Amino acid sequence: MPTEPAKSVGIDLGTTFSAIAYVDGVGTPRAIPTSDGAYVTPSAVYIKPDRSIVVGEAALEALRERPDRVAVNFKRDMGEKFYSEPVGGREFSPEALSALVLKKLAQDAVEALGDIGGAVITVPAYFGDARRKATQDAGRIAGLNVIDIINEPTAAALANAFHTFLAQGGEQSDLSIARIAARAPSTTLVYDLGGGTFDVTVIRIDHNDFEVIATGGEVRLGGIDFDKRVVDYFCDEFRRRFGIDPRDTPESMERIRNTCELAKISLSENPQTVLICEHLGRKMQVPITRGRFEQLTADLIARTQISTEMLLEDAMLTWDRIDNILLVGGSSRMPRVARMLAEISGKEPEMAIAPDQIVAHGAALHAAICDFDRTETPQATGKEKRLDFDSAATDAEADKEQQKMQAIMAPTKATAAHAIKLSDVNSHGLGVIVRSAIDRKTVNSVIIPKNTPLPTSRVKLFGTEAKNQRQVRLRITEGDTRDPRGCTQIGECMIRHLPKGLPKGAPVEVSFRYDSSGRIHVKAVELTSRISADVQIERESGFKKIDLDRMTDAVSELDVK
Amino acid sequence: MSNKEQNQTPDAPIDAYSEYLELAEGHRPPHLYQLLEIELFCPHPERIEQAVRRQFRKIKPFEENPDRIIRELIQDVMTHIATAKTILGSAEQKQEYDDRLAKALKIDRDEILRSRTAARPPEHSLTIIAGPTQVGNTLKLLPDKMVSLGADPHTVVCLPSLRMAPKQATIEQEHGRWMLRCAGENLMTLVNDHRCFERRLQDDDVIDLVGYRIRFARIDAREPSRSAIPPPLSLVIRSGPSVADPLMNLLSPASVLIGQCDTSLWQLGGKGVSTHHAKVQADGAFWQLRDLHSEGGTHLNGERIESSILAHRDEIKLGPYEIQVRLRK
Repeated sequence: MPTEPAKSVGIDLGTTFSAIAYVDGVGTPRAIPTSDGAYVTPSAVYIKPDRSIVVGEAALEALRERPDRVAVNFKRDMGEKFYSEPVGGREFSPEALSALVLKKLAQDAVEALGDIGGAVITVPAYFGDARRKATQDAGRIAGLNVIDIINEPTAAALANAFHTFLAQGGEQSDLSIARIAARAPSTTLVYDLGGGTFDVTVIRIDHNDFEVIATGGEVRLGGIDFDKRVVDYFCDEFRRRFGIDPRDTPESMERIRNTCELAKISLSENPQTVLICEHLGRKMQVPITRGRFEQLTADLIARTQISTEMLLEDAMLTWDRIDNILLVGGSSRMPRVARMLAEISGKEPEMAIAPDQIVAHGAALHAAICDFDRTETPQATGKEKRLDFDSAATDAEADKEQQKMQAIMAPTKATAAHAIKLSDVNSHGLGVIVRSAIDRKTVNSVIIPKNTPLPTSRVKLFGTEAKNQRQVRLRITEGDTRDPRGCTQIGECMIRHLPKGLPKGAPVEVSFRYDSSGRIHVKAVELTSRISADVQIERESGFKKIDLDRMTDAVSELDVK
Repeated sequence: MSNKEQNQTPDAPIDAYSEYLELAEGHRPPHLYQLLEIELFCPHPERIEQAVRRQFRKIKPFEENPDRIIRELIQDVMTHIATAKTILGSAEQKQEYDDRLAKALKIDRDEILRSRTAARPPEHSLTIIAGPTQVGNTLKLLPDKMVSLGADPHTVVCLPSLRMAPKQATIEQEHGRWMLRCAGENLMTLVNDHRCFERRLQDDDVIDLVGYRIRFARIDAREPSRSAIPPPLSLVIRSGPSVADPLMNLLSPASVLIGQCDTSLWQLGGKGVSTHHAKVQADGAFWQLRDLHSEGGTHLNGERIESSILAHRDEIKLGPYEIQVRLRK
């Protein structure tokens, strides 16, 4: 065998913690430890006064001393221009901050594996296109070769299916991964309560096919919200006793927050614990029981319950059609989560093996499949490349038949090797802003509803608004409400130079095509004159290419510790 | 540009409850029953659950508002709704909350609940009066149950048809009124022959859902006297191009419009069928077939007609379709 190619890695870029994993020589996904031996890295970035950069545990520690120089939870701002607060007096984009975390993870991976190949990064299924693109950009800025962006729940389901496959006596080295999921078709609900986001997804697994049926959740609900409740509880007690509110002093807050988070984690194992914190020289002990904690956070659990029930209602599913419930994310360790799900579903939820690493495991498996795809079909890929890039240089006459054969054969081989199909749905509706014929209000008319399997195309007919209208302007939106305020405009398509004298209500056909690479093609045709306009919307990058390159260079020169 | 209405002045304090949840003006924050827009002290757990999801659905699309302040306000409203679920969903907590609320509002809770049961609102039902199947079936509407209508077997009123969406419409009670909502904007829903998206139903309204006609009526309403109604009618396509529903059943007082137009209750495509081709409606104790000045005409037993009474085993020819008439005794 020739020298082993560089291994590709899978990265779970989380709100509070990130993890990186690879598939080892015998085919098991493994998380890669950081330099201090932990398997997860806090998604925190400390920009030191000397402008060197520290990522991870040490950055979290620095949060106590220099809260103004440490950025955390920036995943929540992904897709926006800047991170919520300036760091060290400067504004940073969430992409740049994420890139620094990715760079640290990649460094740890290089340390452990030698060179790394491509990287698969996961995002919440709930992320819209802008934020997926931003994540991809973060990978590029970090100097990674991003081979794919996949959904966290899909990754978790994939890894879980693989672990089940092993538990049932499957061969670890069997990288013809087709067999991983070769069991009876099943429908899994993945409940992923992470540090900053909550995702709930229904995935149908049928042999090699991982199909996302529906996805929902909350972008701004996670473990940190549970921490906040404990923090408030402590601070209220402190104020009652000493008449001072620690929340007025940011410097003390980091330590209190940290203590409260540890207490929360401890309450998942123990029925009670004690919060011991100090503020302005006054030390206070506040005992807290699991019951009290669950009371303080009952509404947060209720929110995840509402989202879960809404998802089933939307997908027109009932609990009897769900075979498994898979718990993912560190926060789903809270016993109340499994209890709530058991109560509403009548089923026993299954805790993922290493719930905070499983997403990275799945991403690594997906990356391995991509690698496997490349290495197992060298002939086919070689020929494909030649067809694509070198066809002018080949001995055309002699090779023509051969080429034709290869062109026909290659896709079949590729499909066979691409053992697992990950089908997706769009997480947000796509539509256009129109004036409703029914009530004359400006409304968003959804053309591709959310949770439609991709690729897809849909057509809808509209009419012009006025007599003798000469142009039609279509504002293309992402969002699911009829109310345009619930949507974001993602593009525009304009039909110009319509002939004079068109009646009011002249038919305008609008077609949307959403391909599997995430590109949206919009075409509008005025049907009587056949005059049309079209536009292609790519997952828009927040950066120009040149800025991206500049940032990539800047980050590559940075020393990240 | 027309984006003006979206750029609100950030200085004005924003009331997320009225702005995004469309609650009536009033005390802020609203009490939990105002928040869920249900009757004060509502004793029905199912109705509370349903209202929680309804309000959550209303506010959720705005959670990604670009304005950070608004986003936080929306988060607060979402948490508030979840609080309503936890408090009103637990019998003890609800009792405690209701007592406190009654005291704060200076009203007698038991008195309110008693007077409410005394004046019982009229009960309503849905009856399918025309369509390919299910005709004659009646569903009593319960105040705390949302009724979904569509082709999916999991809908409350399942209406199998190739033209029907999995979920076509919903009917639920809000503030004591029955509201019909179309489940998607491109879905065809007509009430009394007018297209609508959302509508408050009134007694004897007739709802058309692609190929099915449904009557909304009070349960205690008197049926018209028996002698005056024609027997149930079935129209069966014997030959012609394939259509979504080759069978149409009718109960008086339904009428059916036949044509190409997608507002027709019985949509028949193909050459020779006009947009609005013909209509079948009750006329005293008989069914009457009327041609609507169609181009190709309507033929009954081989003869072109303008209007005629239908008899058992009559043959209608309409464009490429041969349709048999069946009257049930």
